[in-house]
Amino acid sequence: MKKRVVGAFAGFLAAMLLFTFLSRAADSLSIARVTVRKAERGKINHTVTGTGTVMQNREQAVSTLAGQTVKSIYVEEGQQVKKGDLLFEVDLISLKEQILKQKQEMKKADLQSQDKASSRAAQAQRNAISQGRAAEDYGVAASKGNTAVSRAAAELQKAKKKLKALENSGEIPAGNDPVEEVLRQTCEDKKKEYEEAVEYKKELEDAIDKEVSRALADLSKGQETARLMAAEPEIHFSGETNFADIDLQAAENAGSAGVPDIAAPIVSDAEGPVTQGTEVSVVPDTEEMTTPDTGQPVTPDTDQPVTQDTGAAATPDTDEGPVTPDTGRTDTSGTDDDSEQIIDGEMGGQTQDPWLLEQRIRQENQYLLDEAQVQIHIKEQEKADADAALVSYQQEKAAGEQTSVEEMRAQIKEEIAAKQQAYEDAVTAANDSLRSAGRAVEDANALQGTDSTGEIDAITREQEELVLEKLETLLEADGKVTAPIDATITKINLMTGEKTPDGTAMLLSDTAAGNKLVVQVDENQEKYIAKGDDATVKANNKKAETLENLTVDSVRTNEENAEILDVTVQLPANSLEAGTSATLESTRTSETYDRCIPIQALYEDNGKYYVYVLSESSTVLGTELTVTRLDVTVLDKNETSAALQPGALSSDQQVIVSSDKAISAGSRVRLIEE
Amino acid sequence: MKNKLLLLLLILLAAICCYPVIFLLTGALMDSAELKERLGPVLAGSGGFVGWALLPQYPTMQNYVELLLDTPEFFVMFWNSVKLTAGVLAGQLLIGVPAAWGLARFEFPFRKPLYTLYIILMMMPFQVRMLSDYLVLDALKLLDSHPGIILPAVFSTFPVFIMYRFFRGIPEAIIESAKLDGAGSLHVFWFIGLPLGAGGIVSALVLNFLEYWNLIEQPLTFLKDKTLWPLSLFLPDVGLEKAGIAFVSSVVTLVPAVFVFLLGQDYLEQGIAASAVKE
Repeated sequence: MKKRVVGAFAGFLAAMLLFTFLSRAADSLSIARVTVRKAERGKINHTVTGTGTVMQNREQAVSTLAGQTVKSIYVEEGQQVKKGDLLFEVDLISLKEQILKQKQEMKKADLQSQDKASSRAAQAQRNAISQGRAAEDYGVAASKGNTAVSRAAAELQKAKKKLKALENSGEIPAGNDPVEEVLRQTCEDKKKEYEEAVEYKKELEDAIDKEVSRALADLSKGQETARLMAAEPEIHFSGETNFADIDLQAAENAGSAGVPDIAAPIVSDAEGPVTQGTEVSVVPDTEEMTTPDTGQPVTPDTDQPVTQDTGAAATPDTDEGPVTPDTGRTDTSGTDDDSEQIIDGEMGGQTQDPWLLEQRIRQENQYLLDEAQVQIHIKEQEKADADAALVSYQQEKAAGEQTSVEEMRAQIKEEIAAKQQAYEDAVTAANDSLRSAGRAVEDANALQGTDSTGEIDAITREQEELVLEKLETLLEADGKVTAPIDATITKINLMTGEKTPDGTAMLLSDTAAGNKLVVQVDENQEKYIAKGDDATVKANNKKAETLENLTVDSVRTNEENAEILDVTVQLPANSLEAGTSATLESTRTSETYDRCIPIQALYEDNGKYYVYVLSESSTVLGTELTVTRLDVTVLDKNETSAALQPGALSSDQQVIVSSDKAISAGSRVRLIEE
Repeated sequence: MKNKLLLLLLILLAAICCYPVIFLLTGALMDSAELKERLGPVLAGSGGFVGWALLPQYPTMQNYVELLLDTPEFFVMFWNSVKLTAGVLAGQLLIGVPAAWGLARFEFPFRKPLYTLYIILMMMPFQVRMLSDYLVLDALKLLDSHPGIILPAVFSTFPVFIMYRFFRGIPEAIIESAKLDGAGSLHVFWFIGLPLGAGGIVSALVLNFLEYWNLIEQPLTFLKDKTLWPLSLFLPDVGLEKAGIAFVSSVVTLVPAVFVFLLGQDYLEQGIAASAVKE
């Protein structure tokens, strides 16, 4: 029994011994074997490599006029040419045709341009005529208004006089009837007025005749130019007729001088029609107006001659200024004659037939004559009315119908009131017609739109001349185009028999300017290459020439792809030919870092870098190596190494560089010597 | 009838005493999921009450395989325990047996006070001697080494006390007769004392084996180097994850003790009885 127990115990111990070895063996199989390295001082070099093609530094485009037929091409792409070498030739027949066509086109354009100029001149003339006519209409309106107003004022005045006479007479003396006296007096006045009107018309006709003869005389003397300047007909008349002076010229000028002048040409002084009579004026100082009852002739006594183009305002400097519808400009005739007519030709610019001239003057002044005729009729009618009134009164009287003085006075007052009303109506009507005439003048003088057709035609012509010049230059060279510099042909955009394109015909690269290598590198290499860096270029051909100590000329972002950089290196003269494929290599040496580790020792997790370092820990099995994770800050790295910020990693810590099994923090590892 | 009732009571008490061992053996065969389910309320605080079964629901040897093949640390500690226990027991045989013989069989001045001192020292718990032991071991450069554990245990008083009883129990007449036959003191000790006191020696060794096999305080205090730790320190942290391993390692730890118990069973009873008898 005891022996068996002892045997079993021994067996147990043997089994434990066996398992001891087995578990050790299993453990050694599962443990990772690692190699380590300590962080060292070092530099992180960044080498930027790229492959590209050698190309010429400067290119020059050769072009000719578009649309030429290419007769023959004398060069090929890649060919070397000297300055002056023939490149290609264009067809002369087609060239000549084009020149002819160009010339014809230009001629056509010239003719069209002339036509347009002529029609523009005609249009300008039409505009001038319509302006003149509007001014005339304005004058007529003013004249008519003045006439009507004057007449109404005179009527009113007479009625008032009648009343005054009645009051002065007091009692009606027997046998001397004051009413009959007044009526008789009225008849006489009307008769006198009628005669005056007839006389006025006659004077007018004389004045027109005079003007015609004067115009004819001027014409014969060749003074058209002077007449041309005197653009408008003018008629000034004044005298006992109490007609206001009418200044046509002023009215016309008012059109250009401004609207306000026209808006208030006729002002009625409603307050004092008895004493003041009528005032038809827009002259600012109304005190200087003539009154119809003074008997004084309304005479402008300015000394100013008939000046029509002075442009200066002729202001009346007398107490008895002319009654004019104008404010600023008062061009009056220089005479104080009882009746004066000034009529002259207005159309300027061309020599006229004497008969036509006379006709025109007469036509233009016809309205004055018409108006005088109308006045005659009116006066005649009034005279007849007055006569009729006298006769009627006498009949009434004869019938023994006694009219008391009171009744008569009342009658006359009614008459005054009616006349007053008529006077005011006349003033209003005159203002209205003058205003509408003024607007017509304004319309005629309205601005015309700008017209640049002439200038545009001139520009077009210049362009066409330039094209023609080029065509002729090409023709002079017999249609031959030569190389402008010593160069290599890099591109030909022409085909024999086809038309020349509207751009570069051939592309030449300047042989004298040397070659460059342009390579493309990834954008994230930007910080490792810059202008001025050293570079090595190796040709990818059989000779494998290597050019060292070159300098990076420029680093630019590629125009088509922003993720690519174009790196340019100037090549020494006669080194590599254009078109050769070559590789550029540029190494930038960093500063010295204290903690550099192989890149494979660096791990990344969610953007954080860490390394595994070895740490010793004493366990039951003895001193064992375990893995500890150490978070680090990477200062710089390249394809082989990474520089870490000192601090986290000490220089004697062993960084795990490789492992035959996956390890993590806390893993037990075995170190194997490299 | 009375005997049957007594037997029943004893069986009940024995079952209570054996229950932890059954618990241990059953747990060693459970897989981790089952252990988690049953021990979760205690080890993981998952609520409810701990339940246990006499037989595992899903028996597995996984824990044994893991411990025996994947845990080299366990074996390091196992052999450390073997080494410590063997060293202590050998030392006690070498030192303790002659000491007990001397105290029991020789008359010399201050024998009684010396023995009383032995008893007092035996009564003292380790905590009382810990600091002085440490200072002495430090002065002797024995800290953090196995001799630092073995040497103090070799001079332990408990086995001397046990064996003293047995040596005292040898009749004076036998020793007298041996001397008369011409045997010297060494002969008497070797040919009379040892065979007659073998029961005491073995029981002392068995008792001490159990004590030093389960040694905790001394290695924990004096050993910094984990490679020197005995098996009793294998499970400093019993978690739910390692519950299976813990059960298995406990079972394996139990095995040598069972063997030693079986070997020394007869003498153990005598030894325990001897230590209970007053002089």
